[in-house]
Amino acid sequence: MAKDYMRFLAVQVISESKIISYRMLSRELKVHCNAAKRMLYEFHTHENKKKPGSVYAAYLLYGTQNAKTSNANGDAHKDGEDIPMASSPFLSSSMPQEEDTTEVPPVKVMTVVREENLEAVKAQYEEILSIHIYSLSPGPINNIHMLSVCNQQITTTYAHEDPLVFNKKYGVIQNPRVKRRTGARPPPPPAVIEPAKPTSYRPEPKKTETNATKAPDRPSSSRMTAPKSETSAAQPKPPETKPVDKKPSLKKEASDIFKSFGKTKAPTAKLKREETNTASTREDEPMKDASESEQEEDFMPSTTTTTTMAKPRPSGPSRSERKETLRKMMDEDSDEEMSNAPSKEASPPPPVADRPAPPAKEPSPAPPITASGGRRRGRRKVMRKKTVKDEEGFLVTREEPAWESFSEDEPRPPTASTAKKLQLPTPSSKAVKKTAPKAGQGNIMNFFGKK
Amino acid sequence: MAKDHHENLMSDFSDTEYTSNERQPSNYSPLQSFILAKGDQKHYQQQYGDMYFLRLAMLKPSVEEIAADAWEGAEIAGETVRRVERVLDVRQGEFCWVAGTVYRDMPLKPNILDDISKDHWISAPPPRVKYISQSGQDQTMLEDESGRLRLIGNMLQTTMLVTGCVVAMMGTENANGDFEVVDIKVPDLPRQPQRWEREDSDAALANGSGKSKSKIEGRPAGGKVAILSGLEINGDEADILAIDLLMEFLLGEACNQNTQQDVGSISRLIIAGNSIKEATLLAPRDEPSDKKASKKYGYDSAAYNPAPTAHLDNFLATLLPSIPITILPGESDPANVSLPQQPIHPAMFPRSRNYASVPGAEEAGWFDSVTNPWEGDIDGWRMMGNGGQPINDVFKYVEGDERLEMMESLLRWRCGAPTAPDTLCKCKTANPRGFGKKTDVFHVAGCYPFQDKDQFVIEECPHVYFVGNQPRFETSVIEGPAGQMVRLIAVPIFRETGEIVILDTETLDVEVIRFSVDE
Repeated sequence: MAKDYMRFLAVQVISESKIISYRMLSRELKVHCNAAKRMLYEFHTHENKKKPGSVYAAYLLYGTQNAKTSNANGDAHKDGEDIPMASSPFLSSSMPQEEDTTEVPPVKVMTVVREENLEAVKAQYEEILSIHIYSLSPGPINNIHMLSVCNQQITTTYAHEDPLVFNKKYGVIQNPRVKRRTGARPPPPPAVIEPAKPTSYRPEPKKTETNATKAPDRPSSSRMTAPKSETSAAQPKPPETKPVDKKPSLKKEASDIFKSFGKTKAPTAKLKREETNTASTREDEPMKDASESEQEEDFMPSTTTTTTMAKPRPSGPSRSERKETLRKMMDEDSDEEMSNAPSKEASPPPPVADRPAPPAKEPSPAPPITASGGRRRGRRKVMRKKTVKDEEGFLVTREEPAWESFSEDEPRPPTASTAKKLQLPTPSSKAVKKTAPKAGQGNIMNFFGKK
Repeated sequence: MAKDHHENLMSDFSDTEYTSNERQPSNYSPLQSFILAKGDQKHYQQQYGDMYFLRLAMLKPSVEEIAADAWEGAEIAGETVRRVERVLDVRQGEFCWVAGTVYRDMPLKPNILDDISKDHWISAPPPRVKYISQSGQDQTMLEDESGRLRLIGNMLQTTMLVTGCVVAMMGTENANGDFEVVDIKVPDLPRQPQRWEREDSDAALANGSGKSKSKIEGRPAGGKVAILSGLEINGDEADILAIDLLMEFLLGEACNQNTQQDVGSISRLIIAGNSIKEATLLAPRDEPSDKKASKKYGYDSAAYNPAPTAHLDNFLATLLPSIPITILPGESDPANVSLPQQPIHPAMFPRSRNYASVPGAEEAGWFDSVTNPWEGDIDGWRMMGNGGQPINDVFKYVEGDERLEMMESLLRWRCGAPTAPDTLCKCKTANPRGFGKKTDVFHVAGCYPFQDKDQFVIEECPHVYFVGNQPRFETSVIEGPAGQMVRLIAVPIFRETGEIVILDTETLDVEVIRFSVDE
């Protein structure tokens, strides 16, 4: 077992280019978090002795900063914020008074810092109470917020573990008084935690394609399954962005994605147009039932709005910068998300269009009608008014159901509503109806001739 | 560099024994002061005017007592100051004193009657930083059941006064009919319970006699309480790392053994509002026509983003096995908007709610979703806190940004939310002083129309008064006339400052821990 963790780290960090935090390592190897911190340290020194710069570390510092510098920091932060204009004059006026009336308690600061900035940040501390490696990565971390990926993975991957059992192993502070309801375990966290994660993942186009083509066959639960499939593609890949030669490799990745989509691109666009066409025609229909294509649409706005929703929030330059870098980092995935998602949305129609649209089904009305010998004949239920004189001599009008037979030459009764009702239960009928007017309505022989 | 502190973590792995710490217990018994009746028992048909009447009736005796002590028999310019029962009884030219409710008439203050008369339901005026108008159109008045007095005098500039606080004023009515204020008295801090008072009285009841002495000695030393506010999780990943650090710190995973031991003394976490940042809480009402087109059954995924709540739930569920949590709703949290905000519904926390108490249980849950404002006893101390709305609204009435002074004033007025129901509200304002019958569902009133008792009146002085979502951390201790000591804490917004407040429940000392990310 002795150097198992070294091998594990070598595989994870160097071969698979993952970010490994001490928390992650303690979960992976089921060891105390303090032990994990030292394993990271050992691996870091060991690898960098072999080849300097092969593994990068982020450190976690904890200690006291003197009030002066910390105050200055606080102010600088505040100025950058987008608070109502009045804030800065108040600050300056209230600052001196604050020193008289209110206490300035000691400030302890915990900072996560990249390897290259370690010494600079250390200098800001008056006393350092604790320092250890927070995480290791195969290359410098451009966006330090990427580190939160580790904890997100922990919440999803180790959700099945009972914290009351496992936390002791990881060195979490124990609380014997904890009260938890007996019974069902809490449900695992939903797969989608962040709508747009900083992970730059690369879902294989094949996978999504199969998903898309499968879509029409599925029952109308696409809303639930669609996001899941996306994240499941996302999860195994998060640390892709990590390699040292980051920029070029990412570029390559991006173009790869486009290339892989290149084939499908043209059809997607066309299909999309079709989809919008059908959508516009559909809008005239008064009936709104839960058909599949509609739900597919539901899903679309959700992804787009969540990503855009984050943008307009007013925030200071520091945050916007941060966001900018994040966005840069995520450019690739947001791009492919765009090209990916429409394909998902648009793809359901093709099989529908290809499928022989049974045009005969559309005009045929309610079941009891039999068409024999080219002539329509049948019985239908009608309400007849009947007026009778009752025992007391009053005239009573009653409506009674009665059957009557009819034939083709008679005008058809308005059975539209019943026809609609009957069509409802079949899920694909809607799509059929949609495409029917285009392909099927023209000339039925066209269809048969082709095959 | 103090190497001995941390050398063990910056060294190669060795197979030594790694121990886990144990967290200190938290003695916790919340009060149910602000829980509203449920379902049919809760009505919004009542007049808000009653609240002012109730508030005045509750506070008038105390403030008159204080005023009588100060002014009884006082002479100004050879004239004895006389007590006047009602505002309308004030006579021109006579020095007198009278108690009543302050009303500040400010043109910039949102006003329900303007809304109705101008039919302005559609476009609410943009929220203002301050209600104070630069042109000096603001007026301060003192009112009671009988009528109103317009107030003037320098005293008004130097004393913090907002709509709804009950005070006694001494002065004289001048030729214009304005009351010139010479002095102002407030109800000041109410009685403060002793530490462990409730527990002791319970014990005394249980034992039948004064055996509780022995129990006091047997009490474990109190730990620390971490208070934070404004996590403002909004599904935007850029700020998650700081929250992660906070979580790892509280779990005792981050840092070295010494620090982890210190963390073990933090026995409870209080979250004082605004855990979730709602991007668009209320859709603007002038675009209902667009909305209609996208009307769907069930929740509209375009309008609701489940990620922030899911993230908050995960955050809480990770902490809960190790530390008990009390969570107050805030302005942006998924709870009702009007004060007192009722607990955030457990359905919002599918993972964390397993640690909450079963509905209807007597005992407070390990995970306690409580009201805003909230009060309760922690390690014997009476704590009182809110999500920041009352202070943030008082801020709009007064010059400057002295949050602690506002907090102190609130306590000395004995009113936890003086500006409710006048202006304290989400977006549109009720000014229902006797007029506002709340039948319009679009209207967001400042608070629940209490009928029997103004619940915001502070009857027992807390030992710790914390207010969440303040622009920066501040703290001080104020003293009352009967020796009451109150620790005031303005809890900063975590998202902006990265700071949490640690309160020592033995000494009531406060320290700050900041979590930062080196960009």
